[in-house]
Amino acid sequence: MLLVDTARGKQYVHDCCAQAARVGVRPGITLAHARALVGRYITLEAEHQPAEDEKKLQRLARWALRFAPTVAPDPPDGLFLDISGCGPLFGGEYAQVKAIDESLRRLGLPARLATAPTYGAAWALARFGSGRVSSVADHEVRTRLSGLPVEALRLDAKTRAALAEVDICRIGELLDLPRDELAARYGRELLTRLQQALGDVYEALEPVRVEVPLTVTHTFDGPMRSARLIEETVQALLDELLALLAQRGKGAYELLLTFWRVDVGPLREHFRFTQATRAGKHIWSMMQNRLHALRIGHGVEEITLETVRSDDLHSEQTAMWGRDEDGHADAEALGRLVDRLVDRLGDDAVTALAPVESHVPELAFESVAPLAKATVTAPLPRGARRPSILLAQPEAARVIALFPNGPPSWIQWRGEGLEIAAADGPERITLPWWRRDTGAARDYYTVRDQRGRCLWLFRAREGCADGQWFVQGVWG
Amino acid sequence: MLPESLRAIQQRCPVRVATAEALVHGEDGPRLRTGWDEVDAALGSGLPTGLHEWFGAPLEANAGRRAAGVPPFCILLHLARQLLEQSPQAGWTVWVCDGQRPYAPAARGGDTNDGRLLRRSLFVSARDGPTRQWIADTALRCRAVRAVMADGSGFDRAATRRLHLLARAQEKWIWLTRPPGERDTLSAALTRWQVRWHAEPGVGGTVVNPQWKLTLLRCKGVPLETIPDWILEWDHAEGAVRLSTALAGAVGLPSGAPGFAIRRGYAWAQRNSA
Repeated sequence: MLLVDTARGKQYVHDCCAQAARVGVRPGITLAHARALVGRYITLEAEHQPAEDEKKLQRLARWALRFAPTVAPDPPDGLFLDISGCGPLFGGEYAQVKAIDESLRRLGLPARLATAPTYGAAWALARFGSGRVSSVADHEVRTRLSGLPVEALRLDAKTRAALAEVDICRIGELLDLPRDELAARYGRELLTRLQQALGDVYEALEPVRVEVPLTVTHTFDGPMRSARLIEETVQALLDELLALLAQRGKGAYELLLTFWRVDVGPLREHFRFTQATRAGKHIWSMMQNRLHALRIGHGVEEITLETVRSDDLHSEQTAMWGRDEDGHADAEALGRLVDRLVDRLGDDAVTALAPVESHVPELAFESVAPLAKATVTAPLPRGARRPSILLAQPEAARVIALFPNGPPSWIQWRGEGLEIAAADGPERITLPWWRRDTGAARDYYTVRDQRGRCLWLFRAREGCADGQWFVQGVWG
Repeated sequence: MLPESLRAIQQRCPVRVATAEALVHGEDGPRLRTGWDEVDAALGSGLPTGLHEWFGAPLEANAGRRAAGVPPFCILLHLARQLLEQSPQAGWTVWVCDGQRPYAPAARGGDTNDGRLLRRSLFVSARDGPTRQWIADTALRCRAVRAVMADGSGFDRAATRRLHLLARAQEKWIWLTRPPGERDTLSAALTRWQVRWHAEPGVGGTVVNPQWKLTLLRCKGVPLETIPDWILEWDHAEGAVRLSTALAGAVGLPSGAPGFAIRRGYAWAQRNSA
């Protein structure tokens, strides 16, 4: 398997599996070179997605919290676990490391593990140590690090190159040099990394944080069937929860309201919001709609309201006085509108449109969640003419052109045959290889017929539909 | 007792009902300048806030009375863009559609456009009339929304009146697209427009600019018999709709031309005498 990076129009191997590495593939070579090396083997090529990697690493870090209270991701492919004092819970440090190793293997992630008194030393041994699982005692750090290459100190490429120039390859060689000279000649980073590995300076981690949901509960003395009292209880719980959120400077993205019923299972109602909010009136208006249609059966014994997702929401001053120039209040109002619409119509019914980097008309834009920030700004080809309505599917049309490959002069579409008064084109759009069901390319024409209708039609080229005409858009 | 109750209701709901005078003289609330000088002049000084209806032409020539018309999205996109340019606060436009919505590159605009309209547009799909009406109603009440474009097929007079009064009270615009077969339906719309394809006879070749004939079917306070049809043309480069200059002499004149002043004068004379 090859993981591919695309940069400046060229594809490079970002990483590869062990089998590919065995035949000589290594990160950094071009994809063409790698293909030549793997030759007859069937390979799977996938685009490298750093953002996805980061997300997965965060997920793995949260999973690893079962082994240590402090876990920090070390992108792109590492985790730091602070296991100080946790050994006795697993029957000793060795058993703990073994448990981590086995759990990772079960997940299909064979890893190299190292325990050391410092994060720097653990990092160095996990990546450059001799064994798959290694452990270093407090007094052995200096000795064990001495034999490792300088790359084990997490140095940047510039510092590594500078050290290579003077033939310093091992950490032991660095340890023999006077430290004040190291900083002066190779920068502060080298000295800091060295001291961190040896435990002379403290190294702080950025651990993952697991959000503890805020929960408020009310238990009734017996089964409660009064809709009015249930409504009042929910309102009181909401006020309580909002006060807790305000104390923590947070707003809710998603709330879960659970009714524990007597005779049947619990009834759960989710409330999702476009923006983090603690606007009681807005949340209550959404809850009220659901409460009216509630099926409480023989009664409710307990009601729980909890936050599923929340985020920081600090009070911000957006304007000194007068108008809110940033439109902060507008964004909030729009968020509430979207919440109401989504609550009644569903997620798919309320969308915004964002550009996608594609020349294919039906792929040029995609529906995105409202208020999501656009990440791509794909320009239209200059001078491109696009209709105001794109048909759901290109519709076949009969067209007569006066000369081969020429513009259309007569069209029959939807049972009506008309002469073309004016035609502009062609604009050729080539399709990607996986979407060539109507040909490899399309020649688009903008035409106006005798009735004045302006249509956007294309002639398919080089494929099963070669030479056929389709109407795809209308100017309305 | 009754007058007091009425006064109390009026104080609670300060809805300003447009009078014919106020509509034409542009004294009643904000106006949207359409960018078509002649049209603006005929309406006073642009489109007033409230409900406006647009009847699109059917795609097929032999379509029956019940056939759905093609929504005049080019014109509506142009108006929405004009609104964004003229508003001190950049508001949002909500498009309430029954399956058919403007194609995003057209909403984004031409070469000279920065795509602001598309970034500030929200698209909501709903099949049935009551849901579309509820969406339009909810959107009009949102302070971030400046205009609502909705598919108004099947809306009755009560629905249009409710939306119109709400839009007036909130000082917003609501544009309804309706099928041509609903022209006879009662409605509280301030203006009603018909959009038809336009083919200039004898003009052909390789330049294709979509053109439409715009007819004002109803406008409170404006004598329709003096209002000509206008020819509008789509400008690909700017993604805007312009008054067709080629036909200005025949059916419309650019603003400031002497003929226009005479015609307007005649229109007022007729209205006053009536």
